[in-house]
Amino acid sequence: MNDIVTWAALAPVLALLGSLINGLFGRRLKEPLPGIIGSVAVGAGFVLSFIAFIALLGRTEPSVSLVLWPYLNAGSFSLELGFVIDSLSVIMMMIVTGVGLLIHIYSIGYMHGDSGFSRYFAGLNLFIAAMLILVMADSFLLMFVGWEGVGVVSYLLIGFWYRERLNADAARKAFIVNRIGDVGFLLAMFLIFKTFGTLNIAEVNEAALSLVFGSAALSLIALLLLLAATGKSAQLPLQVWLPDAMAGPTPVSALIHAATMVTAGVYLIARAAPLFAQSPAAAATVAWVGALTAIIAAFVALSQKDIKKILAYSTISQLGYMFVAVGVGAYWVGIFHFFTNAFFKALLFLTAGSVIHALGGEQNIDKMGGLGKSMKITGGTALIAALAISGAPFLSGFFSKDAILSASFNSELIAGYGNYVIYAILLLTAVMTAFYMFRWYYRVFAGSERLDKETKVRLHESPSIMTVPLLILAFFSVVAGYIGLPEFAFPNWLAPWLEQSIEAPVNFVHRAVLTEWLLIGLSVLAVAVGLGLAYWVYHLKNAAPLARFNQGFLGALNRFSQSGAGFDGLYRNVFINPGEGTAGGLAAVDKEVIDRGIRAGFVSVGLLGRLLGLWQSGYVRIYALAMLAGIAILVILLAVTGVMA
Amino acid sequence: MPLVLPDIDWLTLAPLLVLLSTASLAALYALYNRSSKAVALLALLGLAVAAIFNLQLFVASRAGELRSSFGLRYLADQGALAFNFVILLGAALAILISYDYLKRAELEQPEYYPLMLLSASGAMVMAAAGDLIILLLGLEIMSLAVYVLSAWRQQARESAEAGMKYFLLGAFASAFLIYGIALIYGATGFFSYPQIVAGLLAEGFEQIFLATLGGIMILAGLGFKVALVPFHQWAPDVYTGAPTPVTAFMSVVVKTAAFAALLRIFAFIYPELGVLAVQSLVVLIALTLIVGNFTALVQRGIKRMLAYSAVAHAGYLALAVLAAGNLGMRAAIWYLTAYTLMNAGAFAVLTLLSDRNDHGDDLERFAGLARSRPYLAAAMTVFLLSLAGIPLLAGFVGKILVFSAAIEAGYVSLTVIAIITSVVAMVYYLRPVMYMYFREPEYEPLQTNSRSTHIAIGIAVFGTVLLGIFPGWWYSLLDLGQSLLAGL
Amino acid sequence: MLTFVVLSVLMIVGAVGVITLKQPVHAALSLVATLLTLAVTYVTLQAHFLAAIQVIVYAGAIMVLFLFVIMLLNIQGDQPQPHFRWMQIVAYLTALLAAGAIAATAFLSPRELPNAELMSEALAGGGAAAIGEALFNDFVLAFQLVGVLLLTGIIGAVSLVQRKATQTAKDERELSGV
Repeated sequence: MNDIVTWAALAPVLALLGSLINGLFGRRLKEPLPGIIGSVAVGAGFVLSFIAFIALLGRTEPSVSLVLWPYLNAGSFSLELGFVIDSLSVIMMMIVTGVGLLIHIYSIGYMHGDSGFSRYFAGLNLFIAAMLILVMADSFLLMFVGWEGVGVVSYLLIGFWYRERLNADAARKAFIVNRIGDVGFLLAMFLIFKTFGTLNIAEVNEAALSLVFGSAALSLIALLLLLAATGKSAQLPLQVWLPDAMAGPTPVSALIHAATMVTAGVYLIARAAPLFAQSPAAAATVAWVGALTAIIAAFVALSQKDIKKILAYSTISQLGYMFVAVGVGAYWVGIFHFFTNAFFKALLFLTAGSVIHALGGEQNIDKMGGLGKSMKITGGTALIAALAISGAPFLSGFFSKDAILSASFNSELIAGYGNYVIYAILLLTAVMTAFYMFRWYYRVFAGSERLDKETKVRLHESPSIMTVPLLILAFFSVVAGYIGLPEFAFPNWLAPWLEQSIEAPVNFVHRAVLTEWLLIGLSVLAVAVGLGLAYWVYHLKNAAPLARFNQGFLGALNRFSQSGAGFDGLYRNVFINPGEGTAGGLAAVDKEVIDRGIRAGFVSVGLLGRLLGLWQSGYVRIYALAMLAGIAILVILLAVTGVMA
Repeated sequence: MPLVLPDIDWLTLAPLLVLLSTASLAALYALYNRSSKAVALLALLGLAVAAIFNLQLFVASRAGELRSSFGLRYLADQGALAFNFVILLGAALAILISYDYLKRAELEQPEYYPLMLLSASGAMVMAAAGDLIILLLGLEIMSLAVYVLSAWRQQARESAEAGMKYFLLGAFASAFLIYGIALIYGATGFFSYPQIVAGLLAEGFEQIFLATLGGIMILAGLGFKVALVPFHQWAPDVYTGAPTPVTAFMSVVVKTAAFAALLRIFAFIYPELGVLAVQSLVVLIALTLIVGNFTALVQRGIKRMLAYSAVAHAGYLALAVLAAGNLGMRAAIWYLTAYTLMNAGAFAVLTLLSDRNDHGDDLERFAGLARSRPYLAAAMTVFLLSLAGIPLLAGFVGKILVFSAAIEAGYVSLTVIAIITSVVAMVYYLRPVMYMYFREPEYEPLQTNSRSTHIAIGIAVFGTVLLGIFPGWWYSLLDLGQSLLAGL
Repeated sequence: MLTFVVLSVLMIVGAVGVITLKQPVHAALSLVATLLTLAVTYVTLQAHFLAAIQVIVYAGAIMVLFLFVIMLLNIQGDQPQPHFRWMQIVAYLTALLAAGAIAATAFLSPRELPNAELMSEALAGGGAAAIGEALFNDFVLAFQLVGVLLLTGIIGAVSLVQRKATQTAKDERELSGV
């Protein structure tokens, strides 16, 4: 512990400690105290991470690895558990603890009076601990610990208000969908171990670089990691759980389902960058998954009515951008967009939380409007956040989004896989983003008030414990982009800093400066179009042009968008209904055997289980017969092979 | 005719003899004094003394000393001794759970404990056996006691049925085992492992098919005890019907012993048999993993779910058997240690939730447990997460060890099946957790005096967590650089 | 050789009779027949001691016990359950197939019969000495473990029966108390 950087390893320990204190003794603590304990634990973690960051700044090789303890040494399998604190993980740590701290503070106000106050903070702290383990892990195995940890805490917090059936169901949906991602992660680990003989990330990366470019094993590993990432980061086709996850308390949505946990997939790909950089097919798949997710989610966001669901789809869409970034090989850009997104997306959710808080639980944007007048800080910061996420010039989102666009345009890694199409898709998505964000803003904060009478009376600006975090986040939403200015014309600090940790050789075409400026101009134009359209529809015409979206082709389009692009229905028809149909035929078998959670996603599988249960009849003679049959088959096989020989 | 006396190393027999004499003493004592408490304490004392002797032997064997008795028929090598620890631990946990349970269910009768000790000594004989006859006798001693114990709740139909079912099918399986032993003897002319192997490798040996047939039969007989598909169907019924502490005992001690025996003969004899003997196990494992995990998915009763989970875990363990040799052996011992702790722990929690008649092990019992009994819920969560294989708990490490051993032995596709099914398993293990934390309580929790059960749960939680975070120490104790299996 | 074939056929017929005859008494008698043929087989193999033991212990003591139990409990043969008809067929079929496969495997590779003269020499005097030596030397551990097995059986049986007794006594007390 001579190196000051290694003190940052205490950050997860502190968060865990906070969680333990709140979990074990929380009920005996008076109200704000659990919140203060939680905030202090995370705040201390932030300070340690920040110190580590400063210390690393001046070093030529900003990477410190710290072995915690030798875990296992079994034959060729040997593993030490350790943390690695380098330029990549330290950025993640600062965001996790920094944004985490603000959300903890905000939550003290938001959760005021809730009966599960201490339970809530115990969960939040546990989440921070798990997330820190995830980003600091030096091996895939330890990363999996954090990966599962954040998952488990996320289900607990989605179902926090579990008395409402819907919330518990949402938690289960998230759980089941994420299992599919787990299969990817576990199989990837298995293959990595089989191919490289180690699970240490640094060693794997080094070995991957020396492997044949585009070899099948590499591609398979990369694709399996992608499957894991799509589960956690809610990308196609596993995005269905995230909108439902909005059932949890809003600060949880801000922290876990917007700023940090859902970006774990992006982080995973950036961490394992050489695996992807060596396999263009897998990388292109990542980029395409991201691009399609981005546009489909943006399309769905256009028509949603729930203040949080719009933001959820916008999160999915923004994560799609990040996937494109790491897919085309611009790993630092993916992290850059994560960095800026963490601020404005957390801010958006917290303003939404502030609104919901003020309206006593109302979430339908049709019943809002004009709130900016009575909630000045909330409204003002929401405007900044909406501008930032839309990519309005000189705000943070503008720089990171533009970097993604230009990277996808210039990437050589996926040059043969339609990178220009991806660029076009993202440009179109940018238009849609600006439109739906300002639809959101106008419907909630501007325009005419559509509130109930009694809600209107209670309307108030949130207490300062909630608004101060908003202001801080708003500040960063404005300035965070300046660490990663376009490289061709300006000094860029972030790219070289991160590339010290991500050693994956990906080339980008260097275009003429004029072309680069042209690309930027196109981005600005896209934002302007989207913004202008929203201004025209919602501000000037007061949503009148939308009438034609009720019938005909446009109406169908509208309904398609409202249904979440039909994914839930599709999955219901493909996975759930056939299972139920066949299961109905077997109605003789106990009908309530299958739990609802299983039904929600696993009925086809459950059917298999039922069939297997059929020969579990309870009769000894059937059991004996089964044993005899088993033996008979083996013996006959033996006799046949014997006679053949 | 010169009389040749058998070689007897009394120290190798000490743990066994201690258990046997404690059992006899306890049975005699029970004639005069019907206090269950005294007999239970005596039984625990016996286990402790046996553990001390076992420790002495273990230390000696780590120093490279190989002890055995009766001409390699009773072995005290490192593998057997490590298994003995697991068996003793499992028996001790089962006794701790039983004491409260029997009192609550008004089933107290001091003969219970001697029977459990006898069963455990049978298990130790199986682990130490270097001879097929000894193996068979150990298995019968162990089983006979368990048959009686599973019918302990006679007035309840399910329990009597469970005992009967287990007995009938057990006899059926024993017939296969005996037939297999006879065939091997017929082919080679020997019972003891080294001699069998020598016979199989002898020049001019032609009875390979007969021997392979014997090997398959033995596999079936032992496969029944560990509940490999398709020899598993007794497990759910017997697990559900038997008194819960007996189920706990069955699921840990019986399984450990049967795997100890299987590991040894699989590592020694099977490589010399026809390919089909090994291939049969591959098929059985694949079936076990799939059937066990998917059937567990649709169970509502926790006990039944745990029964199928026991089937599934038999599949993972058999994967270690398949990876025969040092690595597989170490993985299996480690896995069984973890399994004993977490499974006995889960059953211990279950005894505290079910009512006097052992009913009410369905999911609803778990609803809201986190509210009514937070510590119990937390303990159960640890056990279930560990069984599910969540990282940094013992069950996860066990899986890693088994999987890496299997990869090393070249069984890649089987390992892939194991990984995928283990993800499926997470769904059914975490369902009770969801019920505990996301539901309102539907039942009044029973208020019971259950100190010894709490001790058992405490030990199990501590062990599960400790082994999960620092798996290295126990694993490295099993490491001698040389074979864990004495003999050849 | 001929005697062996005849005896084997008789033995197998007896064994099949045990599991197919409906009346328990018939089945038990069929078992007696099997055990006796086995004893005769031992005699033809010069193992006189073993043959004597076989008759005394199995055909004598154990079978008498069986018959006593059957008569005391007045067990009737169970009626065939139509529900399991198909299962019976499947079971017979499976068993036949398995038996066929086992037989095929067993005769796959030829083997020489042991030298008869050598065997007779080893078993001279009925073989009691050879058995005794094996039992108290090579198999002494097995011999002792069988003792443990019997002890387990006794404790188990006693505790089951005794519990029934105490349970009934308790039930009666409760009843009379009411």
